[in-house]
Amino acid sequence: MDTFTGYLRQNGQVGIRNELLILNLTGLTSKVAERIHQNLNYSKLVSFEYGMGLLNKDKEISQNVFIGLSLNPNVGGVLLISADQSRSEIVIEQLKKNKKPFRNIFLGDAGSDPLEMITTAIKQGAEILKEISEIKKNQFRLDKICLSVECGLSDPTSGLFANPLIGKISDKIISSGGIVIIGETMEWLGVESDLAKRAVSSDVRNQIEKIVLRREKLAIDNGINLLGINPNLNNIEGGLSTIEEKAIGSSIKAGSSKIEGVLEYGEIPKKSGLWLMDAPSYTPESLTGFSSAGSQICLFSTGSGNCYSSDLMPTIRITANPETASRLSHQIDHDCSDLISDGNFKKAENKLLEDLVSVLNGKLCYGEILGEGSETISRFGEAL
Amino acid sequence: MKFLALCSSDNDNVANTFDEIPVGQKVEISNKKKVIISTTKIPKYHKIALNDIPQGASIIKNGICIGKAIKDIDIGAHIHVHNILSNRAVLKGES
Repeated sequence: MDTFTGYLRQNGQVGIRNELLILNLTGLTSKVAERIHQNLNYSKLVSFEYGMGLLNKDKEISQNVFIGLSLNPNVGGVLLISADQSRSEIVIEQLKKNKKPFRNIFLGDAGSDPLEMITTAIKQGAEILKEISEIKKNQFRLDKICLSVECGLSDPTSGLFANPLIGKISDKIISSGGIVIIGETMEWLGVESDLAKRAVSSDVRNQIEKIVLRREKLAIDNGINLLGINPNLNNIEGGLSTIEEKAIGSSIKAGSSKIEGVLEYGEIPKKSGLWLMDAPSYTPESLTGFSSAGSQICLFSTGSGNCYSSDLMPTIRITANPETASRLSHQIDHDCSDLISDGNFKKAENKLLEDLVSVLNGKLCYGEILGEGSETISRFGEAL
Repeated sequence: MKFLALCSSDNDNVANTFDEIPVGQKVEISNKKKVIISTTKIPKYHKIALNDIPQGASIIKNGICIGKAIKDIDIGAHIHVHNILSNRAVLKGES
């Protein structure tokens, strides 16, 4: 169970899917991009609805995320769409450097005629799809995997069973030489000193405490009472009472490995091991941070059910809540509710690892089958 | 019917239930070899108090403080947002 078949990219990374990414970089062209996407089977569309006037962190992070998503190993080729040529230049530079097939089209190329742009872009996208569909799958070890771990609409079964189980898979990927990323900074509140103790250096230790306190202060300074927001009403109904209780259950998904460092939103880790991403907790934003960081696959636990999925990373939805597993049988990919009755983590770990490897090999998640995937790039402030 | 609740760490003063528990039922606490009697109704997967917990005392789950009691809590009672409060991101004027 330590190998899988995937698509080798020119830069040495390995994808578990082979997508054409249509990456729309400007709001003016979002409808154009949507129409191009509708005409290209097997394409994935990520659209950023903003453009000129982004400032500071928004400007920097949106560019990094465009690059990150384009370089995600599951992406075989990229069709860049924009109304503004300058937005795509930095992405093109990286695509060339990494020898990833791409085409770039901006509205000016088509004489500002969106209909002409659509026709040209469909043809260009079709060429990329034809080209990347010839890439053959080969066998690789788990050290090529960057796993991301997430939870959403959690209840106590998440923290007691599903998340500790995910933690065991995280440990397995790291001991195999791979990468694991966990995000949702707010959900380390109360366990940050335990996480900090696992840092590889005092710099990283200080950074972990700093980013958690910064986000706590953000809530206080904005007069936000976390009760009802995080934990949200759904979590509270399920039985979670405080952010600290939620954090214990949430952070355990990261397993027990040493923490290599802290990533900015969407940042690509520089080496293998366990990484914390300082990012918002809302699942759509959080998962796109992971896709941008190069994660090929996500383990996503839920208590009461969650229909969200990344579009670029197959997202395996896991629950330990038996009622949720039977009620949402076409949403939940992996039912680990046996843990409640038998407590047999070893058996559950083998079963989840087996399922994970099947998905790496091509088995589809419900999010992929039902087209529930999306990507949402975070915004951080005002624009001009 | 035998009711069970899961306690993850030795010094925890709460445990999670696996069924809805009516008042006055025996609840076996895993890992503690202890049986306590429920003093309130406790919803499925929610928390039950393993000791009498005075107002202001820490609530410990998995060996970690998850908040404090905002009123005296009886052994066997339901522990949730009505009787405990987070210690984090506390706004001015709240305690």
